[in-house]
Amino acid sequence: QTRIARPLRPTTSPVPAPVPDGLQPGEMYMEADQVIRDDKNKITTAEGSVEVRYQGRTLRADKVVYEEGESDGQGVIRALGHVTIVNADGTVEYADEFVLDDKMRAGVAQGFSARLQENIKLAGATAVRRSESIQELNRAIYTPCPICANDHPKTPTWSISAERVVQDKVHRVVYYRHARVHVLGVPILYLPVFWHADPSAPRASGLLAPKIQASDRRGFSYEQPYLFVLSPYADLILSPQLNTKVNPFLNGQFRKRFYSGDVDVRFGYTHDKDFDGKGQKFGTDTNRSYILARGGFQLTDAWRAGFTAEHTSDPLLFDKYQIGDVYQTRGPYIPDDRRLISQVYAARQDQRSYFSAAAMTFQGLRAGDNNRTFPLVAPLIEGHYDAPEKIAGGRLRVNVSAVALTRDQSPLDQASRLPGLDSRRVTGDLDWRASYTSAAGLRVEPFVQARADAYSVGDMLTGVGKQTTSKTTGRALGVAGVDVTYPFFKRWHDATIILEPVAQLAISPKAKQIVVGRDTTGAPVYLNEDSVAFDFDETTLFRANKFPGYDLYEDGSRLNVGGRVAVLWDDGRRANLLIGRSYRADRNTVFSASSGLRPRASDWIVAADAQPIRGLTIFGRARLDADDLTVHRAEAGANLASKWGSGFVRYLRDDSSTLGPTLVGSTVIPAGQRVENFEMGGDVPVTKNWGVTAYGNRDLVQKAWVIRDLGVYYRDDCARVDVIYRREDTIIGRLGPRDSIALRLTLATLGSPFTVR
Amino acid sequence: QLSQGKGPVDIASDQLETANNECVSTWRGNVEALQDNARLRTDLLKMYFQKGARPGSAGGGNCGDLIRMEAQGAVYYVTPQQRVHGDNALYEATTDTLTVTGDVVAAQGQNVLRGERMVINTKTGEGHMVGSAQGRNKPNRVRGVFYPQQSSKPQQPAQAGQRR
Amino acid sequence: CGFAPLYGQPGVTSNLAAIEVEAPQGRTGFLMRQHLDDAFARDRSARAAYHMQLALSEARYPRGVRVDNVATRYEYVLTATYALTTVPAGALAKRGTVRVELTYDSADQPYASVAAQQDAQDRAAQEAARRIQLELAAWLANGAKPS
Repeated sequence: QTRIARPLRPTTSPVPAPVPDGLQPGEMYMEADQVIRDDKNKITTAEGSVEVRYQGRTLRADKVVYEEGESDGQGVIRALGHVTIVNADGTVEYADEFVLDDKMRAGVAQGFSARLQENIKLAGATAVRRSESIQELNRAIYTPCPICANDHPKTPTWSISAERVVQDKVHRVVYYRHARVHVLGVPILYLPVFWHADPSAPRASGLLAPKIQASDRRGFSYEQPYLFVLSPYADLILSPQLNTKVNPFLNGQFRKRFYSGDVDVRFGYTHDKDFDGKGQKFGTDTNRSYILARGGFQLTDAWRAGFTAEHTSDPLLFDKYQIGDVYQTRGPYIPDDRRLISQVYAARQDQRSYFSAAAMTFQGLRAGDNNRTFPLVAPLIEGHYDAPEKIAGGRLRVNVSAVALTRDQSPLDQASRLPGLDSRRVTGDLDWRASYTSAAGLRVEPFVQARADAYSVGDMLTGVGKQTTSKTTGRALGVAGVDVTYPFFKRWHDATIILEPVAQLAISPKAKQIVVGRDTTGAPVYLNEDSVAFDFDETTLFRANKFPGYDLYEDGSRLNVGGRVAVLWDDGRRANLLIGRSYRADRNTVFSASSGLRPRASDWIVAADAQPIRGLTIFGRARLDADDLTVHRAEAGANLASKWGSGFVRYLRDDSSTLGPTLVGSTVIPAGQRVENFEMGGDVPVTKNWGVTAYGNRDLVQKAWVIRDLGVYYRDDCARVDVIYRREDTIIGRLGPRDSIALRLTLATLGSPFTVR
Repeated sequence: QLSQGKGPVDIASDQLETANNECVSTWRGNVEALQDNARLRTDLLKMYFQKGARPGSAGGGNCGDLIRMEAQGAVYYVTPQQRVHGDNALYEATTDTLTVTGDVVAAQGQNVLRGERMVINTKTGEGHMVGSAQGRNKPNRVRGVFYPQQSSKPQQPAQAGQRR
Repeated sequence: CGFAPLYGQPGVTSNLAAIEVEAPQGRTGFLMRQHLDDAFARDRSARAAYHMQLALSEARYPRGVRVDNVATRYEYVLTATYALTTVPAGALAKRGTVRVELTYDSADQPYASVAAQQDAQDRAAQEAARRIQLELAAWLANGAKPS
């Protein structure tokens, strides 16, 4: 560790930048305990806490000798003893001795150290200030970390020492020759030449932190991103990834901001064979690439439009090359896990109406996904309009909706590649609601909804080989009902308790479901594209039509009843409880058998959430069997955010997941399987600087951990070092379980983390 | 000895009192002492001479050479290189030093220096100014404004305006 | 036993009906404004006594991850921060934050999953509106002290 040639005594507190002091240009102000002026040799000597202020710069020293030269610019200022120069931009330079020209510019300093912005220290044995913007240090050390704690020097957490460091303020770059990076005093990296953007630089092209990974799939991998700042509104990152076992992979990201929106395009390319979990290559040598792009524009105050384009040449590309942040929300419509969506959308919104039109396609990356069975959704129309005036004492809303799905192949019996079901729907409905509250506090809200659908279904399988028929039909649906609620409240200590009995009566004529076929038992198969993922829970209990989409419609006479308790503490904490169930005049077989809504008295719904103490929220919900109260579905969880640490816990149990059959490795997991899962994650700071992070996800049905992380981190005000061990017991196609250790180093002012896997 | 030159010292004032037995002469009212190109102006000037020394020096009687001069009130000491203004001044003949005290302002071309006490060696022209307090941000330290752009050729002494 | 009808208190229903809600940008924002208008039983012919501004943040987390690293459920969290100001003075009357967390099943067919996600937005907006309405009703019943 290079010792700085001359012991320095830099002050720790950043020196306040000089305040505009009323000096006229060209005037130099000097203040000292005493001033000696020798007219014969034209030397002025100031001694005793001398302070000189000139052109926005302040120089402080024990003694200053100012020799006025013959002509302009000849004069030399020599400052001796605890010299401090505060530049106009707030950066500070310290030295034992400083020689400057009389404009306080070029000069040589012994035992020089500078405090750049963001509290960065640049200390060097000798500093030569070439010109106002170039400053060269020999045997220098660069660190943003505090270099002395309560007045005695301490080794900075990390620092870069080098033979020569040149800070070029014009090009806003700091260059190093023979640089050694020290972490906690230990030299860990030697670089013959190294440079990074001057921290005070707002946006400068340059190297970003590399990603270093080692895995048995790609061997040792080094990815070095380089940022090109194309303009104040656009930049391009090219990030080649060099691997020992496989060909290099180029990642890139182009971002551009326009007046009314922005575009963000991520792409990647390689030319190589496929390879498996152990890095063995197979298959053909071909181009492999991905694109993850989005763009969004606010065209007018009301109109917004945009697109997303997500596609990859082979499904496991992201896992094989460990490309991060893939499944993100890039547009209004979000796909499922491990699926990509390309969409185009336009939406118009004002206070009284909302209209949106979109089109989208999907690419499945899960094992066993067949894109031909995924529909092209074009167009998908949604419109809402609030009538401005009251009608019959209540408010009226007009809603329209339309969707067209065209599918190449049917998801059923994929081996025989049957033609896929296409469907087109147009819907319009009127939604009227009024609200009356009696003086005694009983609130009664009658409502009426009338809806008309028109369907045109094509390529419907007749059950005989590949024969298909088509069908065009329409239907009228409606519901009339009333919502009744009678809340009571009471003050209790510093909280308000509210008891609220709630009831909803809804009556609908028999709804004509769209039959697209018969199953093996002869029972009708209904068209159901948008009401598949349906749960009977506390948020659907009081909805007249519980289905999430348009294809299925709840009819008959039904009474939804429930009781709510709410406790509202004055300091903001909350606790809620709901218990309820649904009664209906007769069985409704449109609901699935496992939904709990078929019988005339439905399953029980219980849901509760609470914030017992600040920073901790707990919640739980369950659907209990109508007869023996056995648990059909249950979820519980807690979130903690406090100074002792933060974390979350989730438990999930569901008798029948609506997820269809899936291929895991070679075994097929049939549909409607029981799902039971436990998940937890936490970050516990053990001491001021050290802490532990953990994450675990256990599949309780398979009795196996799916993902486990354990991490230790050191953190102080200028660096964070994370060491994370991760064990993934997942089987994704050919990629089996995987162990990895990641070292992530985040250095203050040097940008995003060095990740070393 | 007010200046580098050796010439005689010419003094003029409104009133003059001399007290021969103490060899003290007191000039009162717009006193101006001139020697070559150095000039000392004050409201009251007391000059002390050696007692019982050689006759014939200025002030008559048996007083010898000038030992000390005390100037009180609006003291100006003007030489071609600089102008010094203060409330009082004390000239020591033996050491050729003029000590000006009390809100001293020394101007040289446009460069101005302010402090509490300034000791000027009238032979070499070297000035040594001191404030009344020490340490940064203390009031009444020596303060000065310089103009490095213009080399400080001796110029016509600017109007001795007070830089308040 | 000390319980009194909430909507029976003077000024509760009339003030709730006089809250004019400004819809934030986006589909969830629009749905939130519709559900709040219903929860407050907004009477648009009456003059507005309060103006409500909202800031929404939505997040979606994969849950119940299976051995093939596919999530079987999604947790959708909607956080609504509201500020109620008096009209026309514009003084801040009440501020609050409501957090709604609900889950929905993941589906095999991608369009079914998009429909489920759109429906989750609607249900979360409705539940958040109900909680804001309950909070404001209790606040009005307790004397509407600015906080």
